[in-house]
Amino acid sequence: MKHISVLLFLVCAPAAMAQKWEVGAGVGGAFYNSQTFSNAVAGNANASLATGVVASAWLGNNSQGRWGGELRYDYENTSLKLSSGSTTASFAGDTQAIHYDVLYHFASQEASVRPFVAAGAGIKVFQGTGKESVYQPLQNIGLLTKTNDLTALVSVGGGVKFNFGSRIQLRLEVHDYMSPFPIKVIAPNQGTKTSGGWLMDFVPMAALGITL
Amino acid sequence: MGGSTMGLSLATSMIEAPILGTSANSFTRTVAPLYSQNAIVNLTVSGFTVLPWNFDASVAPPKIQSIVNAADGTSGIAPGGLISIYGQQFSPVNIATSQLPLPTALADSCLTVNGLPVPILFVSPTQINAQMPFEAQGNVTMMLRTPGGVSDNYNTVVLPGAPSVFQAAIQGVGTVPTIVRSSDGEIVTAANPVHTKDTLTVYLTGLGATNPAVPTGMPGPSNPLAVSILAPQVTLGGVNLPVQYAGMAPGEVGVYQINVTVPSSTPTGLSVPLIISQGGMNTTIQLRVVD
Repeated sequence: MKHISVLLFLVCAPAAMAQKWEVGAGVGGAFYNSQTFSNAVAGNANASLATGVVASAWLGNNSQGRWGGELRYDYENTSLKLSSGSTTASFAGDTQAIHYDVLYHFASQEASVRPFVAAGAGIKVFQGTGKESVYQPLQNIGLLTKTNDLTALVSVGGGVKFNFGSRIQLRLEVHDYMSPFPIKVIAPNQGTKTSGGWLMDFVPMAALGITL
Repeated sequence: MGGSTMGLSLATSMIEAPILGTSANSFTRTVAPLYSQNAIVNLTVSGFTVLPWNFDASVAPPKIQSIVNAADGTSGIAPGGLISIYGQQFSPVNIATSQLPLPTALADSCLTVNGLPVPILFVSPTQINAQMPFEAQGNVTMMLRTPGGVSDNYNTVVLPGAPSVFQAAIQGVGTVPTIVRSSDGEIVTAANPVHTKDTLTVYLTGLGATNPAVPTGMPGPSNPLAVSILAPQVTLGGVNLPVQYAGMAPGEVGVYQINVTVPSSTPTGLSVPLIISQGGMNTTIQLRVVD
């Protein structure tokens, strides 16, 4: 145990000395692309998640240089959606994601305006939370379901940090959270094929960060 | 009966075969017009029917073509189970009854199996729904008596157990098995799937004899419950579902229910087979299961 403590100190101490820690939170919107569900008998429908509200919080560290990192949690209040022509099926839902992003800043920490790009990975949980009923519109094509779907998440994005004083910063940023399509919560029915590809979740956001 | 015969003007007696499986003597059927010329009384082994005065005796006799269980229309029939009899010239009218105990003659139609009167729920020109008597087992012979005459014997086999799940028609969905989630009382469908850890009630017929025994034509009791003697086994996706109760549905004639819980280890999917087995017979239903 003593050896482990010493080892942890040796590993963490230089990093802690060289970094500034940051916490922050923000709100924004979630805008999803859709997939096409095709059923030879029942027809086609667009499957997606509805535009929703996003809340995000993070714990970040910035090195003395231009690199940084953030462990981030995102919550989206959205709904599951299936639409075909004038018919739409909707089902309450939300998503939660945890991911770690690496940030590269295009200006030093002392600059008042710091553009940055970010990329990372994590996990995302899609959750259907609505009340199920024996009949659902478009159910012969797809089924909106009260269950969870845990998927991988790849995050890319960028934005600008505006420093106000030495500790407070306003952030305007946009991310694309990419994940496999959550076919457990938006399930293709028997005989339905999906158009494939990843689900894109575009999230523009305004946030406040505080350097500790 | 003696008082009612005072108004009969002329009675005609006819000899019928004895009740199958008994050593009883032949039965005399009596057809008698009332003195008032308002009706004709037809007295048979299963009771009497009153025919209109202008009753046309040349009506064709009934023909039984098939007997299936009333739940899913398959051929498995068990004692106490609900059955559907299909054929021709059954009854000139459609009549259903909610009378309890169920009558053994309805709209001048009377069914017997091995000579035992059969409780009837519904009659029509081509279909009769009834309850197979608990006393019927093995090879049996069914006959139908109507004002048109007596059908030919129809031979069939009554199994000790033949589970068959009732089907319900839901608009926009189609026909689905009547399996109800206990927590919200709703039928499970693809859009309202089975969740692991759910408790389900399967409504079916054909679970056979119960303890305590329930008289034919009578609804299942609630206290004590009439438990199926031959315990069914239920699996979902190959996983055994613990059966909490299997027996008659209280207040229902010929309807049984099985209460099961769905373990968390049950496989999920769009089409997971639910198999109910009893005494070598089984029925399979496809259900959607999610976590």
